[in-house]
Amino acid sequence: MSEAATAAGAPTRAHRAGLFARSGGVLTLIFVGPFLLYVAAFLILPTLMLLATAFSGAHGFTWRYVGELDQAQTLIAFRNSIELSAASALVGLVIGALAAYFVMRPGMPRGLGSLVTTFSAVAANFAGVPLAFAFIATLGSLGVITVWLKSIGIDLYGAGFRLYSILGLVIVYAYFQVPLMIIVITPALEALRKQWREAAENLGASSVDYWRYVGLPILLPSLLSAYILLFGNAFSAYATPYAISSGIVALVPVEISNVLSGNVMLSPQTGAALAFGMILVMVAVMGLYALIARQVGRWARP
Amino acid sequence: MGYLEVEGVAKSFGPAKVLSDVSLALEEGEFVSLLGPSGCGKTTLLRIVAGFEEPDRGTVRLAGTEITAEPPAKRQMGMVFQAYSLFPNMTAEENIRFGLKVRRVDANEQAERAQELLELVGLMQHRGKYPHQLSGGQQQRVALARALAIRPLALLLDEPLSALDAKVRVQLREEIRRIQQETKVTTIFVTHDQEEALSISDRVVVMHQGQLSQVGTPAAIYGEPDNIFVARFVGAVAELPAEVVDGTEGIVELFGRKVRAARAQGMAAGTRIYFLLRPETVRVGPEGANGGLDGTIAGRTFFGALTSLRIELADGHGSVTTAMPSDQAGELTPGARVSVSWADDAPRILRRE
Ligand SMILES: Nc1ncnc2c1ncn2[C@@H]1O[C@H](COP(=O)(O)OP(=O)(O)O)[C@@H](O)[C@H]1O
Ligand SMILES: [Mg+2]
Repeated sequence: MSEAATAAGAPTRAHRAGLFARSGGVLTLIFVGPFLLYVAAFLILPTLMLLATAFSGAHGFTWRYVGELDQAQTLIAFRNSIELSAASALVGLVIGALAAYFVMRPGMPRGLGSLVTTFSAVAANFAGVPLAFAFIATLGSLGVITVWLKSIGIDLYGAGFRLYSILGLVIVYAYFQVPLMIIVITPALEALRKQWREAAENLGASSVDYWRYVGLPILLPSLLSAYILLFGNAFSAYATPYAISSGIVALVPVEISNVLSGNVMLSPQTGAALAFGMILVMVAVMGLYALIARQVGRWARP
Repeated sequence: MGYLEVEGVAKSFGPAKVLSDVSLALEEGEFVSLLGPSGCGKTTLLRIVAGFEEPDRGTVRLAGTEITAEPPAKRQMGMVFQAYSLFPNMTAEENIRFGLKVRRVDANEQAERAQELLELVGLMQHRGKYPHQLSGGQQQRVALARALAIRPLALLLDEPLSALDAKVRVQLREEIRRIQQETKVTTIFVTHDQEEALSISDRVVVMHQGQLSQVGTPAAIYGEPDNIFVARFVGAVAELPAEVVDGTEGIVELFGRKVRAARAQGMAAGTRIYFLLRPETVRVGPEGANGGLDGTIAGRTFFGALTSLRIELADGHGSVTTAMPSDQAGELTPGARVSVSWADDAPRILRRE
């Protein structure tokens, strides 16, 4: 019986496979084609134009603008941007992951999870001038929390705190970094199987053993890519720091805006060179990520 | 006193009563299967033994010590789950060593023990593979080895074969039995597959709606079911309604005729009973043969070595299934009129409410 079925079924299957292969090419083109076009139009083309601008002077090709990236002021902006992004990504990563974990624990009220996810989806996108003013109104030198803390004897600004400092910006950025982390890490946490935890317990593992040998190693690839996402998110933030620090803390996106709007000087080429520098930083960060991800994700590869 | 004892255990989840007053004792080194339909509470009972659930009432004792309140990590029991329980970030060998590692066992000893177990389950050449690089059957072997590595006081398996395909399932269950006999570890094996339970257990516990329906050797469970649920759940059976006529001689009335049934001896006259026939005890002869029940063959199923016939009894008296060697089933095709008979001591007799 089964032999007959196979004999009859085989050609049909082969035929179908052929059909799919052919229509597959068309389908792929229909769905992936526009995406590739989109990428070309809005990512590759602008990048090329950016490069062209960064490397062209009055008399054609020049190293001048990219060469000027090593000026002290520019280097400080890059260092600030990288430090701020690294620190705020770390804060978002740790707080966001812990928050997502505790929200998902069994025994939490029903609906809390979706409430937190919904709030996160909104908060993660609440950046820019409104967020900056919200913080100036609370943690600014005359903000309500600052004033209230002072009234009970805690003088933030007297102790050296400034909202328009790297630390201040890390706190402000947490407002969108933590929710973004919650959104991206929740699926990874949900993918941790109950059996792994129970098998570990059954074999004599403590909670610490479980997280050290099983939970965290399994999450590590997700944590790494979340970190990169948060880093990039902070690295490219512009409106928030611009509104808060109004140039007191030098950051690359703010510098770009300065040279494009003519606040200090008008030089699209310098702006393009700065943007080129940002691309180089992201490429370096992602290269590092790829190296580490290869190591920590070894077990998931076929 | 048993080695692993469950006494008076009850468990509800909210309003749903999942186990009621379950008591069970295993001898040291015994292999006991929990058999029952899905949802009858097998997993819950096993999880109570493992410590993952706390019973509402009752106790669990292991080697004379009460462990009802001990956390799973302290019980020294090895558990094998249905599937996907291996740590995906560890190789087969690292999985097996895990229990020893968290016990801070010396690395050399870990390696030796892992080697022993890899050999025991025949996976030496796959020791460096990650779970997703192993087949389902290999993964379950690793899970078994991992559970045994800690030299568990008891081995608990929750439908470890149900996610595997038929051939691997049979192979692996025989291997589980072999390994259990080599290691002599006291074992509880949960399954909903009666063939699995009957083929590898010292004793089988049939569960039904949160209670133990019958506990006995595989032969007793199959051959001497205590109640109609067990008779129906374990193996095929024809149930014919009958009534005891003479308890001393063992005579019952079946569809208006008096037949001899050895097992009806000692029952009071007038007792309503089920007259139960297992397929292999049913004989098929020509229509009208002396003492048989007449009927018509209504279905025929070929199983390779055996062929099964479903015989519709005359006058709407229900149907009987028989299984016979295929080479003897030649002329017995659907539509043929036959009579069925059996030896006097073949029918099992159960009281009918
Ligand atoms: N944690 C739980 N919460 C609520 N109900 C449960 C839980 N675990 C099991 N049950 C219910 O208890 C019954 C028995 O489940 P289980 O022990 O898994 O049965 P089995 O393993 O025999 O299929 C089922 O009806 C199941 O839905
Ligand atoms: Mg179950």
